[in-house]
Amino acid sequence: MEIEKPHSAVSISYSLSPQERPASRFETFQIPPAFHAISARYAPTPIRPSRLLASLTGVGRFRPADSRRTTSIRPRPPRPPVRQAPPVMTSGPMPVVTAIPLAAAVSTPSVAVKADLQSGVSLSEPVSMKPDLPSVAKTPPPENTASAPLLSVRGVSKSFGPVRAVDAVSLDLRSGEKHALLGENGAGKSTLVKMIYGVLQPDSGTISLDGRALRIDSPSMARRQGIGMVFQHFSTFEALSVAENLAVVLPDRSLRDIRRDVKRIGGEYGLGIEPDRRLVDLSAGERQRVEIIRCLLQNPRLLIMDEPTSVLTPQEAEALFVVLNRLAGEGCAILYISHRLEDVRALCTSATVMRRGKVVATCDPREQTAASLAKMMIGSTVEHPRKQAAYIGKPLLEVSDLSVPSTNGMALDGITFAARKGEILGIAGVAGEGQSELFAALSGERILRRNDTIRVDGRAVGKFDSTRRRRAGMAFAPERRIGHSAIGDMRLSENFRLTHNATGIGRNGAQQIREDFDVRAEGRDPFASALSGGNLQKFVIGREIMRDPAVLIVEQPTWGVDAGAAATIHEALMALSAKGAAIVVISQDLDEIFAICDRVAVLHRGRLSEPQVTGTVTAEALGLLMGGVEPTALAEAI
Amino acid sequence: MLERRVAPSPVLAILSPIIAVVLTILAGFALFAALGKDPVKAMEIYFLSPFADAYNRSELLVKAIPLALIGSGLAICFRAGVFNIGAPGQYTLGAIFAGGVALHAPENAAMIWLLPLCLAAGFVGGMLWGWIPAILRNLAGANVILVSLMLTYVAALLLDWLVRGPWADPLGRGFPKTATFPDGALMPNLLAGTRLHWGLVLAVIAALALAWMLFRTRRGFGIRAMGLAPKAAAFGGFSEAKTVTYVLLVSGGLAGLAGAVEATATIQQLQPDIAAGYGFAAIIVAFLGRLNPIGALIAALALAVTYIGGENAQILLKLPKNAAFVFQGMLLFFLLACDTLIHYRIRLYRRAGIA
Repeated sequence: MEIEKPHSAVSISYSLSPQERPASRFETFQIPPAFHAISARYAPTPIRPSRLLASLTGVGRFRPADSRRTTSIRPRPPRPPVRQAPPVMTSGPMPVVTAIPLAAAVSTPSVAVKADLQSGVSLSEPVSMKPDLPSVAKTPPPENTASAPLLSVRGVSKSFGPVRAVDAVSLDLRSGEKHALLGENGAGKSTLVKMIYGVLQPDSGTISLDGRALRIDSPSMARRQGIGMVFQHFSTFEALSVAENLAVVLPDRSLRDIRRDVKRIGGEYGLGIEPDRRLVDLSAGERQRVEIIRCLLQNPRLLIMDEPTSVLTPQEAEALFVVLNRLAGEGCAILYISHRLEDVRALCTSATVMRRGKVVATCDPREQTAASLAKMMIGSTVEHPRKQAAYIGKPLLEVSDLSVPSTNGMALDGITFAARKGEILGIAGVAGEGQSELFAALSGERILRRNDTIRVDGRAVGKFDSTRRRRAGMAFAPERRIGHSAIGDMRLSENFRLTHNATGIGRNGAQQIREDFDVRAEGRDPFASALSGGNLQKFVIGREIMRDPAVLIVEQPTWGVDAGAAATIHEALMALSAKGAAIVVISQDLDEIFAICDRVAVLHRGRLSEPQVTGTVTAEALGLLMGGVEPTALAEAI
Repeated sequence: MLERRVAPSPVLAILSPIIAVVLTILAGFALFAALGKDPVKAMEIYFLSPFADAYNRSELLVKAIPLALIGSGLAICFRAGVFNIGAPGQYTLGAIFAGGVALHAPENAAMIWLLPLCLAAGFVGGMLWGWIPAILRNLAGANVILVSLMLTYVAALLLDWLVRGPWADPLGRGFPKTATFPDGALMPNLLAGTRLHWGLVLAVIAALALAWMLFRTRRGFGIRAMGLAPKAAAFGGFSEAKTVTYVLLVSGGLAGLAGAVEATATIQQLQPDIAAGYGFAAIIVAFLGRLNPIGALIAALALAVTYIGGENAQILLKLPKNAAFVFQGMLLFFLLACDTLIHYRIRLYRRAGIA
């Protein structure tokens, strides 16, 4: 597909992949240099072209329009080793062995070593072994990994009390393979990878690396073996900066080196992040970038990604795929956990499908349709919710000229919109463009200076705190579950009270929600931390819907949630709007916005674009808005 | 370095105080053996003599009363994640306020109201002293730990000045103390022939009321939520500033009440040393009682054992009085160590790659 306007000096061309991916996602986006001029001329705020292009192309640079590749994969030479081996003093020239930690190099000859030997990358400083180390380390291992799997999981089982979370699972992974692990939340995917990453120990079965059975008893041991993992819930120190967080896991490196590497890797992979920002100020998407950089700094040969794209925009996801494809091209194996079927189909070359702790299928996802994969995953076909034609009435939520100065985040600048009765209004945007600030201003966690900035059914509530706003008919569900919308160390009945304490509904609300929203958990009144992400999110959404709000504000309602739970949540939101509530969905997931929202506006740098009807706006147009291009510039361009 | 355990054992979490007590006793064995005393005999005096007869048992309760009052207040304070370690200062202010009322009551006033007035004044005094760190924190972001701790010294010096200056006993021949309180301001005894007084009832009521507040009311829910997840508590509509103020007022007030009770019941006058050390020991009480006001009652008894046992050991074994404080310190140390090791495990770290 190519759009060209002869009178304009600009042409934008983009193409869909052969797999007929839905229109809401981009493949490559090729923009000629003249685009700079457009963006500079029409954008109301100065836009750094590099940032704009990074978010549009996802790779921090753009290609000329004539190189029409349908995927963003670029073959590249293997990158020079990032690790810096501590020089160990011995005499005499030694074979070049890159800086795999010595323990790993000794016990498990690795792919990375060979790759470096083959490509003849030489180190500035030859690293040699201590004399008493076994000689195997000195000679390159035989070339046999093309056939032998890098990782081999055989009959691994793990039980928690009576629940068999993982049941005799086997899995093989070769170097350079991009392997998907599919399954609903609670299917045992996370438990399985935690065993591979050394967080948990299997009850039975073996895990082998390079054909050698290993007992991986800690994540640090896993890291020494070259296994890296990006978690769904990031394990970071909120009060520390990006560089300091990385320094914690890389004790051998100086902070200065790490800062430099963050900038370098950020540039190289389009994962730009300022190394001195504090984690507490970063959005979920930005935190994930830090996690990915952390893994890349350790030169993994197996990288485990747990639900990586759930917080990313299409462009960011595309950028991630470029990174992953490149890593795979360099010989790194990728174990990709997701329930985003389209992502898996686009990225992965093989897949293992789990259900209730067991492997139920293995397949090549490229030969499957999204529906057939979903069927394997949940055992029945997923019913995609479709937006019902709802009665749309008077405005229930009116926000006028909402401006909040920055406190270590994005300032909000003159946000004005209305959400009407029976309407679901989507607020799209790339991570960290002011979503959390907007949510806090709407939820009353940040109290505003002027009362009439926010009106609920005509009543000014801007100066109200959360409790009084709830009494005025509002309900809220933030992005982060544990620690924000719910307390992990409290039981569900107490978590129910968290948002019902001021308005008071019967005590057994928690039980009611568990029945109505199919919240699956062990025990009569479990702790919130015992629930899987999808089940906890169903509980949270159910808890807010139970208040029968006039206005519901939800942020990322299906972040990291399995397909079944996402469908339940979407249906519940649509049912609530059909009953006459106004719902605002702040989401980075364009698929979600197109599936359930009536209108959509884009948040960029703390400003909100004019809402548009989702039926008439294209994902591409939204993508441009998310990249900071105003509609006028867009119209000019097309 | 420490590594978080994946699944802390729930049984051990409950047993942690008991393990800590056992470890303290074992360490005590080593300590007494090192001092050249017979450890078995010393242990007997320390841990059994406080229960030996009615007098010792009543003294145990007398010591436990202020510890329980302060400790149960600190329990809810710590629950909210507010580390008020200025209880000794709040205790001192309570004693000063109670003493002020007692000493300045008109001679012919209705005596029946004097004691309740003293206790109420003590409560208010402790609240005021607890309020200062709350105000400074909420307005200026001051650290509660530091401000509350430093106010302890201010309170001690204030008391010292009062008993040497304006409130000094005219018949005291220059000793730094006030006159004995009038009879109407003295706490009546609960049991004849002992020093056990009605403060016991106050301590039990306070602990029960706090437990009810903490586990049955909306405010208590907000306190627990804030301690577990401050952002979630704010999301639930609980103002952080208000909660901080509330718990500091309550724990300060209870410490002040403890000071008033001690001043009116056991000391019966003001002097520079009014055993404000209870305020620090009560930190141990709060943690030993698992930050539960009822638990603090039981923990206060355990701490009282070390006080009485220590006094008996001092008399019978010629052991220094400070040995009791060593015991208390060890107890807190072992308790915190047990708690930490239940949630974390030790990993001796060797850097990879450097052989």
